[in-house]
Amino acid sequence: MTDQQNCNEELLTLYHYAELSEQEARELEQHLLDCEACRISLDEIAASLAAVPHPQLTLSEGQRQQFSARVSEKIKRPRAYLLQRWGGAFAMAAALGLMVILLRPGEQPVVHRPAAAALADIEVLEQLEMLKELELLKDLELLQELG
Amino acid sequence: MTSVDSLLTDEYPRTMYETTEKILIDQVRAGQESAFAQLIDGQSEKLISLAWRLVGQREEAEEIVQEAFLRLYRSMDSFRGESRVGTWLYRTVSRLAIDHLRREKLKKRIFFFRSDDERQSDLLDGIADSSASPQESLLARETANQMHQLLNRLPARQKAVFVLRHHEGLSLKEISTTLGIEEGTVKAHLHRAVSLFRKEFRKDREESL
Repeated sequence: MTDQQNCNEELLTLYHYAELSEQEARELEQHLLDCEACRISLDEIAASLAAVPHPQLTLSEGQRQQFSARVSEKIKRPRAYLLQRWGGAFAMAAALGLMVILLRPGEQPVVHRPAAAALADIEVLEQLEMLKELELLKDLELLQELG
Repeated sequence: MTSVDSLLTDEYPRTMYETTEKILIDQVRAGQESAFAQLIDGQSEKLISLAWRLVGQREEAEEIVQEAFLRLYRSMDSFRGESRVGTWLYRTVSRLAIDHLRREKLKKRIFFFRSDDERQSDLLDGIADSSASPQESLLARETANQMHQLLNRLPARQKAVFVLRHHEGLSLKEISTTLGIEEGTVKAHLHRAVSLFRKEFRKDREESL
């Protein structure tokens, strides 16, 4: 792997992270001896990754205890937790019920502009709630990349 | 390098931890609430730190970790111990964070919320500046900011792969297991993310000349 046709950026990334096998690493090092472009690329990978912020989070004893107490509290009050969890679903059902009443056949609903805007929001919310549950979300990134 | 399996055993020999963990699980099953609090206390810092690096907001990170603990508690009776509690939680938090990022992105698209660039993140708050001169310091801060914004723009899974490798120090194999994706896909995501950082870094350097 010494000519420029064998320059492989992905291998350089994996080399930087020490993710190549011994054999692959040796071959790449051999290639680097003869390829200035790859040496420059490798340096650039190191420099750019060094510029990525490396945030550290430490919790004090008190913060850990507070968090633990909060989770324990949620466990002790599963009803409140369930209410919170299903609150969105109840709100959605109520919103849909309102829509059915407003759009009942044979009656002319009086739709003011703010109400129409609210209905549009409800539709969007409904769409979001449905999407949240769909496995399709898993492929969203793939679709974005293909698009 | 941090290993998912070593997440719980940094300070303790593996067998000692496994025994302690088994005792705690048995106590939780027997209804001892203090045992679960002990499990939480031993894991919370690493998990909140992971979630925080993934979603960028401390409050959201704590909610994600809380959800993971609640799921663990609810499935404690059926927890067969095939993986250790810490490993199970680490995987769950990673996956919940990815779901969270996807939902946030979708919400923004639907409601035309402010962009990622404008979103306040507390990740950069604690970063110390060790540069020599004020000018260099400003430049380093600006570059760090650009890189951070780019990190937030990455697709959720790509961001997770990058954070797990670059910040958490997991191997590609461990990332593959944690996220439940092929190792080849992990490599591709990592390479794509690194390419974007290189491009941004080059652009930033050219602009500062």
